[in-house]
Amino acid sequence: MKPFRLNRRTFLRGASGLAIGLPWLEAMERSGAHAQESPFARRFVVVYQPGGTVLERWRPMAAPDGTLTLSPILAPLAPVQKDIVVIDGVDMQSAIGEQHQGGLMALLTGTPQITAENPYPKGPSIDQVIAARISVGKKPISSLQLAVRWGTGKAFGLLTPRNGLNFELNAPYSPIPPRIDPVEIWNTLFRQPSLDEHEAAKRLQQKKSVLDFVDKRYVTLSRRLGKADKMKLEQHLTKIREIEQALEVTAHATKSCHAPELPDTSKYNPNSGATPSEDGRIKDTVTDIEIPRVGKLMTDMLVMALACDMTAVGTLQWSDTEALYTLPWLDLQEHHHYYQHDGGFRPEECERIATWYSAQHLYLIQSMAAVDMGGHSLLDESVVFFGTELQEPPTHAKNNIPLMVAGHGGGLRGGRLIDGAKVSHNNLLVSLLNLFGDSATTFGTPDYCTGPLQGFV
Amino acid sequence: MIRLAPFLFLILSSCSQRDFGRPYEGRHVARDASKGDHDAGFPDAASSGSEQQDATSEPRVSEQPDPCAHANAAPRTWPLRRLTRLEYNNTVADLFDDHTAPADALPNEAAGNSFGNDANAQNVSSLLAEQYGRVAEQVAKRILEDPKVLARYDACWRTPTDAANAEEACVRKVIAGVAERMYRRPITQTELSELMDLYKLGRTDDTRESGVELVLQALLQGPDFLYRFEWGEPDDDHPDVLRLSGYEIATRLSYLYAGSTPDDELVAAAREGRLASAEQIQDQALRLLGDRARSRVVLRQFFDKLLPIAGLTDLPRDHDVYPMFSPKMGFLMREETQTFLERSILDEDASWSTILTAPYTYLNEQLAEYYGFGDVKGEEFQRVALPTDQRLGLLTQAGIMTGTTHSNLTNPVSRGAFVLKRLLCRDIPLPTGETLTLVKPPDPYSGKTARERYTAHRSQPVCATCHDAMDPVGFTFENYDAVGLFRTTENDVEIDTHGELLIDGEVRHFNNAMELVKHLGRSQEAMECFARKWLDYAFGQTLTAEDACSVAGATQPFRESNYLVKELLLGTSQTTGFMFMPKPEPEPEEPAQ
Repeated sequence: MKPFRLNRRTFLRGASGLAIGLPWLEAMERSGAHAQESPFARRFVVVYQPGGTVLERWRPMAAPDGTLTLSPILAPLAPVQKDIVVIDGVDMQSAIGEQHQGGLMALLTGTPQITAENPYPKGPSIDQVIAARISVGKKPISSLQLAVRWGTGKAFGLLTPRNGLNFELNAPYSPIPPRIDPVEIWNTLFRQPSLDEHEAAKRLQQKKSVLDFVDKRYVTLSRRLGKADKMKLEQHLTKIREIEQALEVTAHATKSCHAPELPDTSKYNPNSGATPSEDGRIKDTVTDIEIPRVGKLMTDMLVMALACDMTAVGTLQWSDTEALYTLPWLDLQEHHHYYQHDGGFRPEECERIATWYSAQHLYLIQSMAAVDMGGHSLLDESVVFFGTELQEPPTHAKNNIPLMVAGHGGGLRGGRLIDGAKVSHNNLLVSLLNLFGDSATTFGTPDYCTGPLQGFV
Repeated sequence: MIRLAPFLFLILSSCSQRDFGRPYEGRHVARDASKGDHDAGFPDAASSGSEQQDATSEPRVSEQPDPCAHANAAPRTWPLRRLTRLEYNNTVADLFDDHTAPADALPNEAAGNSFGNDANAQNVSSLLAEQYGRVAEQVAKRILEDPKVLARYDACWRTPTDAANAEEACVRKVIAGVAERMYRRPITQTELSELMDLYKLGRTDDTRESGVELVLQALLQGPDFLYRFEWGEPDDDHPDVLRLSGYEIATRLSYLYAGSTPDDELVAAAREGRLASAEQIQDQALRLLGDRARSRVVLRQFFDKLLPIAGLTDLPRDHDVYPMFSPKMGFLMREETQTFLERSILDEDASWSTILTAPYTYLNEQLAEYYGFGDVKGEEFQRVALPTDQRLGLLTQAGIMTGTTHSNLTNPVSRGAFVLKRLLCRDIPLPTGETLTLVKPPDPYSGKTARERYTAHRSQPVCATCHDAMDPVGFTFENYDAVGLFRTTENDVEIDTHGELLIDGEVRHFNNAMELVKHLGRSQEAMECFARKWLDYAFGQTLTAEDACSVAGATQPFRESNYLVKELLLGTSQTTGFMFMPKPEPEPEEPAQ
């Protein structure tokens, strides 16, 4: 039996008009058959946690056979222990540059920070490479970047090396701004306009006409431009075409696909410290109190975006390297960076923070495990990469970087501790690519890569 | 090995001590240099020691080759630029009375040249393209809600008609008017008929409002609106380059000095050919700068990004240690600095020297109480004389001292780095590789004074190369605590504030911040750095050696006026880079396959 292909006409569209609306649930049918179509991983998720860890409290132990015994910081993950692989002892050798920023850039690109006028990495982030393979042109959204309490501190509302995590596939590998407003994200992805089918079809047609007009203007103008400017307009045109294409793409959603509940997040200001008109407030405790609730909502939306087949690649970025958010729910009234080193390294507080992130990660993994993609779970077909920009805050060391992979996409086996043996973390990135059927033997700057990570698969 | 050697190497190799040389010979304007007699503000110049040469009196430019004499002195192309969020917001406010700051929903600009307006750092993410569409829909909808808005473009819009022909004729006039202002140039008949085609599509089975809404959606996310295209036109007097058209000049002037789209007067000037000469351009620049409601927004934006004052509202400070400090105080400190700069530059025609060494500031009652001087009552900011044995000029303002401090304890490294990077344009290389592993911020409780806490890392030669330049400057500011208040002791230990710094090629010694800022106020390096930062911002890119001629064009009136800031602002519009553009290079032939 062929998998039920959602017809565009049976879709309701999101408020944006992008073809990322929800299926009529009663129209849903699903065959488990196509789950076995490919041996490779089908979805990729990145989770970033700011500020490293407390190494001796994070380091898990392994039985002689490699079986994982969780550490205090990782203890919350016990219920999904069989689904995770902890990598201990890899070095982020490519993390060369500013103390936090260099780590943030290397995490997904495996390249050093260029410290001259363009303070960014020299290559794309791995999520974009994977998206090009499994998502771009195949899903309505090429990749989805969600961030909680982002753009804090000295960034003052700008996309900077302090907060950029994902980088475009093509040179100059510009940083990709994340979506930060939970309500707007929900509206884009899940709000169904109250239109009858006729009206919806008309709106769609109008939207296409507008995009068509805009498209033509970009083409006309770029013809007259010199090379550098032409590239700029063509890049813009590419993104417009992505939207146009999304109007034609249909998604394979499962019965598990539904709109997540939208809680009241009115006290959360996603633009706190991040808009041009902002008065420069960098510590916003009213917003901070809402972080757990908004984080859960972001997680729910990410999981459903995958379950509804809106995209195959997502990022959940908890804040940025500035980490100037307070954690009142943990009774921590100073901001995270203060406990990292601004107020002197506070290992107990840092442990409490890292442990809390483990608990949030548990929620993500369990949510993915609970989604039935037709005979197997979303977690079964996914790879979830969890990382941070440094090992421990006081030294900003990049060796023994605490990393974790969850999911079973590409046949990944969990419940293991892997000894990184001081190789470069680029090797792990190669192994992740391999799970998606990419036969790459190197990733990032070749000097920091010697092939796939031994013992990972 | 003496320690000075690596230190000098660092400064000479990494610092950009740029001398941009003489102005472009072909400049049309002989600016009135008599303003150079204006008191450039060296409060204690006479008493500050004869051993200091007055760097501004005989600039070393004469030793430099003239950058404009060079064969490649033609202005380089300004990279194509997109409106920033602020510019988009101001533009729809001016054109459509939409004051909702809709562009705040767009993703953040990349920092680029550190001012967030770097044309070379403008990336188009999927999210940006998508949000342009959403913002366009929202703005278009709001425009249609109030008939008065479109009636501005043709009064016929006020009186709907049932006659199809009359309706279409009216819509045509409205759309033509709107498109001309959004494109910032006249539009062609072809362009208008394409827009009308879109209108007719939207009008089918629907109202004229729906049709126009569709057109507005397209205009608001179209390249002609979002990007500032410049094609130039031939100029008989300058056959090697192109002159920007009147409309293009109007656009540059307007976004530079008003942060928004050209107003009626600029559009009229462009239409009537009144933006052809340098004098005409300068007159408009003066007019725009005089519109304080707008020009202050531009200045604030610049200084918010140049100085560490944008985040003062709510800094992490322990209330028990600093009971005087509050978010409100942080807000007021930022207002103090911005008010001081705005009034000094726009009202008092101050020089950058004066600003660095001014024996006064602007305070209101709450701030005067906070500082402990100044007889001021009420909310209004008023000029107040500083106790000059404690404070002098911009750098000793509480906002600067607080903004360069990230926690409860002062950090001499970040204060020193701020002065070197932002005021002297020196590049401080980041520790990498092996050096990086040595970097460890000091334990805050490891010494009674900052000098004690921050001395350890300088014992490592590799660290000392940088920190020997940064730290002594920071130590000099140790008289100001983490919330900018004056102190003479830390943990009951007398603070030693002596320091030294290489300025204008000579090592200068100073005993306190007042002496340091006087050195800076006399420093040609500091003056030219300020000019360079302004021009990075004004030109919306990171200028390079290629731009030497344009930089010289703007720097010359600045220097000749003894560094009056307003002269620099105005001079920007008089540079070759502002008025001219190179001819496009012919497209290289595609090699045959």
